[in-house]
Order: sequence, then C-alpha cells, then structure tokens
Amino acid sequence: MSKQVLVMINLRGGADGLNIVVPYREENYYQIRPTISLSAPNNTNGVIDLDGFFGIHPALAPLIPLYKNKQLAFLHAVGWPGDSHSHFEAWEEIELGIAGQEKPTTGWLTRYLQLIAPEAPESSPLQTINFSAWPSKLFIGCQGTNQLTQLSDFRLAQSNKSNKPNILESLKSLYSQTSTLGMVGQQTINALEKVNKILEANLIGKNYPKTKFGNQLQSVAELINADIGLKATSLDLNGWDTHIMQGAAKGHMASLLSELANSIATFAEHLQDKWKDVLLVVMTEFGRRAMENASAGTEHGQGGVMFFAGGQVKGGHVYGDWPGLAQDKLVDPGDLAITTDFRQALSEFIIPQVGVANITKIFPAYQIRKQLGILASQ
Amino acid sequence: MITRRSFLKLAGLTSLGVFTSACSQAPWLIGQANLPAPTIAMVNWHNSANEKTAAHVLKRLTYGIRPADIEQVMSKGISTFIDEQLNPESIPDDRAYWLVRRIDTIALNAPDIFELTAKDAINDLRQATILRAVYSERQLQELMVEFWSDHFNIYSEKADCAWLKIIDDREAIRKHALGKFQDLLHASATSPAMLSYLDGSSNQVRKLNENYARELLELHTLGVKGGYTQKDVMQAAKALSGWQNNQRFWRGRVKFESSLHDFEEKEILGQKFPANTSSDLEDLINLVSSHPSTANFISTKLCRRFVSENPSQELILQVAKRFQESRGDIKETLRVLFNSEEFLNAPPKFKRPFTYMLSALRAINANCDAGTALRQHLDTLGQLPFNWPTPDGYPDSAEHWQTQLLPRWNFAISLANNQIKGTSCNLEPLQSNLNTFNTFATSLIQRELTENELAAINQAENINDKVALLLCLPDFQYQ
Repeated sequence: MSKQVLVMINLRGGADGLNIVVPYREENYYQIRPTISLSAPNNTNGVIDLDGFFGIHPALAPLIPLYKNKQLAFLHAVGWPGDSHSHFEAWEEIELGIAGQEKPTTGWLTRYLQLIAPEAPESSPLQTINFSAWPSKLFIGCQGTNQLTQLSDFRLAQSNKSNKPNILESLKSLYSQTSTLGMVGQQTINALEKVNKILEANLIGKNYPKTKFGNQLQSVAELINADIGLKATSLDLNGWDTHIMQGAAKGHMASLLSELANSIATFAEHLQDKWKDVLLVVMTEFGRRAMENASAGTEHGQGGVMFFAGGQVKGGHVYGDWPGLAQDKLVDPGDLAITTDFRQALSEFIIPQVGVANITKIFPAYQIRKQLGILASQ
Repeated sequence: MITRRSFLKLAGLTSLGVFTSACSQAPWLIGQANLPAPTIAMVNWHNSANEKTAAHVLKRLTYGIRPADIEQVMSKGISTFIDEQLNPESIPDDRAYWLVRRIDTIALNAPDIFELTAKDAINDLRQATILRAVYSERQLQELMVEFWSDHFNIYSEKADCAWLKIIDDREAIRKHALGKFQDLLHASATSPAMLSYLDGSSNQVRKLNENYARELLELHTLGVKGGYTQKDVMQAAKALSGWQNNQRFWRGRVKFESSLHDFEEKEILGQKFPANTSSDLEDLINLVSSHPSTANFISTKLCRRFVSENPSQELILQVAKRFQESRGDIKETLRVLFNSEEFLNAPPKFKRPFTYMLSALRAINANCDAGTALRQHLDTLGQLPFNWPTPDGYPDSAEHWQTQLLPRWNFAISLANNQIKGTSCNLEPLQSNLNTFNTFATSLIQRELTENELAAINQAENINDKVALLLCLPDFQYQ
C-alpha cells in the first residue's frame, strides 16, 4: 500500500486564479484589469515567468525552486461546474465530490480513504486530521478523524491537585460507549497519548510564518516526521473573498500568497526525505470574475487555479486547456471558463491509487476523461 | 489635550464612583471577579416527569439550568415561563443591566467609538455578550441575539467592523431580535457594519459590487435554492447602490448618496422597480422579506436551532405559515414553534461551544467577569463571538462541533479547579455528603449516573476534579 500522505490546502473565499498564475501574454488580461493586473516578467513587481505565457505572482517566489525541480505543477481554468457563485454551495459540493447530484453521506476524501486503506482508521489515531475550522465535508463519515488547531495545543489541562493520568483514565471510562461521541472521545484520548510522545521529542524550530496556517503546516510536518501513520489532512487559509482592494503585486492578496508560499516552501524543506511521499493539493471553491470591479476587487467567478506539489508530481508545468479571456470566451457574467472539472483534477492522483473503474465510487456518476498526467505513473 | 473619548471615560468613571459609594448593597457594581463565588445552591431533584419537561424547556430557552431554575419554572408553570421569555421587557433584569452598564463602549456611537482601539471595542462587546448570557434573566432574548448574530454574521477583523459591530449589535440585532423580521432586515441592510463587511459601501452606479446583494438573497432571505438567479443578484446590487458609510468626517455614519445610486429601471424576482425612485432599498427589503422562500428558510433555521437538526417538514411548514401570516413577527413565529409537540419531545441536541461554556458556568453558579481568560477559552472552544470569517455564521450542526472535545474537557478542568482568572466557583457544599453530590449530578443530566460513570468520577481525588468530570460527561454535551 502507498505511503503517500495527502495534504489538502483550502483557499476559502474564492482565490483569484488570474492573479496567481497570470496569463501575462494575453492582451485582454490588461484590458479587463486596468488597476489590479500584474505586469509582465522583468518589469518592476512583474510576474515570475513559468513558460513564456503564464507567470506567477511575485509573492509566490519562494515556490520557484520547487517548480524548477519539477515538484510543483499548476492547473488552470479548473473548477466546480455549478453556476450559483455561492461559496457555501460550492464548498459543500466540492467536498462531497458532486456537482448537482444527490448528496452522499460521506465526503469524497472519506470514500477515497476507504478504498485505499480499508482497515478501520480507528485502529490507530491521527491517521486523518482535520485542521479546518470551516464546517468542512471532506472527512464526514470518516469516524477516526481527529480535529486539531495545532499540535502544541493538543494537551489535557492539568488539574490542581491530582495528577493528570487520573483524569485521563476517568475520561477513558466515561467515553467508553459506542456512540459517535464515545468514539470521538476515545479517538481524542488515543491521540492525546500519541501526541504527548511527539511533543516530548525535541522538535526543530523552522521558519514558518507565525500565523495560524503556518503553525498548522508545521504541525503537519511534525506529524509526518514522527511517522505516526498520517494518511490525509486538510487545512484552511482564509481571506480570499476579495470584493474590494485586493491589491496587485502588493496588498491584501499578495500577503496571503506570501504566507502560502513561505509555508509550503518551509514545509517541503522541513520534511526532507519524506517530501517524496507527500502530495500537497491547493484548491479553492471558484476563481473570480475576469474583469475587475470598481472597488479594485473582483466578484465571484468560475474557473480558478489548483496547485499540486510533492515527490510524485510531474511538475514544472502549467496544466489545463487555456480558454482565453476574449469576450466571447468568457462565460456569463464574465468568468473564466472551466476546462477541467475539479473531479477530473482530483482523479489525477486518485486513479493511480484506486484504478479508473473505482472513480464513480468517489465521484458519483462522474464521466472521467483522459488523464492530464499531473502525477508520474506508478 | 483631552480627547472626547477620554472625557467620556472620565465622566463614566466619576459616575461609577458615585454609584459604588452610594450603593454598597449592590455588590455587582464592583469588580464581579473580586467577590467570593456564591456557594452552589442545594438542588432539589426527584426525577419526576414534570421536572424533566421543565429541564427540557430550560435547556432550549436558556443558556443552561442554574441550580434553582427548575423549581422556579415548575412553580410558575411552563407556559408562563415561555410567555415571559417571549416578552423580555416584562422580566426584571437589574443584575445584568448594571453589570453591562459599566461597559460604556457598548453605548457609544460613531464616530466617537473610533477613539477606542479595534481590539478594545470588540472585546468590550464580547464581554457584554457573555455577561448577559450568564446573568440576564431575559435568556431567550439573548439566545435570539446569538441566532441573528449568526444569521447576519459580521466578522470583526474586516475593515471597520470591530467598531461598527457594536452599533449593529445594539441598533439592529438586539433591538429587533424578537420583533419583525422586516425591520431587522432593514436595520441590517442599513447597518454600517454590514455595509462595511459585505462591501455595500463600495457598491455604486456603473461600479457595482455584488457581495452584499448575493448574501442578502442567499443567506439572509431566500436561501441558495430559493429561486433567484445571477441576474437577480446583479439587479439587486443596482437597487442597493448608493448606500454608504461616511469615511472621514462622521466616519461610520450611514448615508444614501443619490449621485451614486443607479436610477434605471430594475427587475428583481419578477417584480419591476420603476426608474427614478429612491425607495429601491425599502422596496427590495419588502419584496424579499415577504417572499415565501424567506419564510421557509428562516423557519427551517429556527427549527434547527430550537428543535433538532432534522425538523419535520410539517413543523417547518407550520412555523413558516405563522411567519408569513404574521408578516414576519418573530415572537409569534417562535410561539408556534415552542407550543409544538415536536419541540417538547425533541431529542437531545449537541451544544455549540458557547452554549456548552455558558451551561457549565450556570450549572455551578460560577461568578465570572467574562474577561480575557474566559474569552481565550471560548476562542479555543471555537465560538468566540464575532470571530467567524464567512457570512454564513457559526455552524449549527453536531457533525461540525462534536469532533472537538478536548477544549471542552480542558475548560471543565480549568473551571472546576478555579484556574480561569476572573472566574470562580465554590464547590465545597457538594463535598459535604455523597447524597448532595449525587443529587447535583442527577439534576445536571436529568438521570442517575450509571455505576460505570460513578466509578470513573470517584477515581478523582477531590470535589473539583469530580465536578470537572461531571461537566465532561457525554450527556452534558447535549441540551
């Protein structure tokens, strides 16, 4: 069985793909974004060229070494095919792995894990960890999932007089029933015991951004390095709903991108040898309207950007059919078209693990197309 | 030079000084946390059906049962209790009033309020919110304030919201929490905090910003499947254009700037909005607040909050019908809900973290100042007020919250061991004999402890840890 650890990073709010992986050779880009566009490479604050057509936002510079080492790939014009432009409907359907179908009772990630690791995750705590504070559907139905804010916070409070094991033993007994809450309780206690051991080991400080997201990605690296059998985890970086003053090379979105890039670059470095076993996926619920609005921001759109990084990624490339930004290429009311369904994109790493025949178990009634080949065949 | 704010503060302190010296019989005027904790009252609990019904209603209409509450509700009658709670102005509430009165921030208006730091402003509002939830006798009013604060969520980290939420809380949410939905919606639509949070202030003719218009339809009224289209969103944005917050002079005051309003004809949800009228906002609020999808959406959310996550379609229809007939009268809508069999027989509902914290504080009669240390726990628990980033408000589902037990255990341990600065409890009376403890435990979860539970709790060496474990019980996570 694969040792691969899946790290899902969710950019909540609808990240503006056109200002992340910038089509700087498209004349239209500059016409529809007179104030928030990013200039071509080699200009002051210009994008960093990827392939002669696309360039990435200068705040993503820390990711360039990964891209050059072919461990980082981008996928453009990808998305959820619904048209409600609703953050909440988009995330719910994405995390359930559907687009308009009847809602399944489990998240797509849960169904994927059930296929690749059919042994019950309860058998060992911390195999699946949710760092997301959002009501995420990814792990719904995955009973053994632990919820963490960050690793160093995961300790039981000390009471005044008695010693801690006492309370833990009592809690074990109070949560010994087989209800859902009982299971969560047992899982929490098992994880507490395991995390205690990790925290006792001397952890090497790293240069992660001192933010919630930076701390959480550091926690993920520590868990992977501790070899406790982590299979999948999900983290959020919030703040991408840029209806006003999103900035360009500098500003609100630039600082989010910088936090993202510095965290991922430090993460890869922190993992050393284990980086080859990691697949990191960055996604968002939708891209934003192609033209900027009058508040130097952008409205909810459709096609957006995804990142794939890790040892098995065929990186150094921008994947996806580029639909273009000409007026007749945009879809109502002015969005970048979607040329790759989000389920197709996720299938890129799912199919090598579970086989193409199983894909509808994860994405109900979804017709898979030809693979884009973002992951090296195994 | 003395600023207007420090002048106000000085005046406030002076008057407080007068109060404290003149009213030594009113100890809550002085620092609440400095007082010895009230001893936990003896509980009478006989496990009768009536007690259980009273407990059920108390758990749903309040932030948790205090030791003397069940007896009180039984003596006045459950329907009287519900009726009183629906008419909060009828309930004397001196204690909460005076406690909150000391926080002068929450009475301030724009632009004075900007003389505070953003952090002080929003933390003062959080403190007032928690104090009211602990001490107010008008518990349903507080529950509905929480409900609407989620429904019309404002994130205090965005733009000027840390200050403006104080005005929103007072003038929109609190004022109309049990009033007419249409008034509430109108107050929210013209609230400086909402104009700032969802970028309404940036929405101008030929420079439309769709953010608020979309959430107005999706989250505040019709619901995502309520029958509107992208075109309705864009037309609604036009109708709302020109409503602005002042930026410099009179910062934080709302104005309608007609030069920035789109006066063209609009069509929203099939209704024509004629050209050249300046009542578009009112017309839109009227249209969407009386839309049948809105009645259905609001009623579904109310049933989910007060009854269960999967309320029956019959109940939703019944509640929605009253909402529609009473033209969005929130009190009348709730009355139908509370009088339903489904409400009275509702299965246990997993407490959201705010309710969990409050129910623990109230169960042991803790004294609290709602200060930094307590709020830090609330943040770790996951439900610090006004700290939810997205406009949908804190989730109302067990699925979301039940994965996070550790912060609850840690809060229970810290609370019962008097480790939270500004919060204190006196559990000694429970130590006197086993019977007292058992009665207390039984009243807490409305059943006898099992042998297994009793054995687990008795492993603890002292009363503080025993009570901590009671507050950790799986059953106490439910209301």
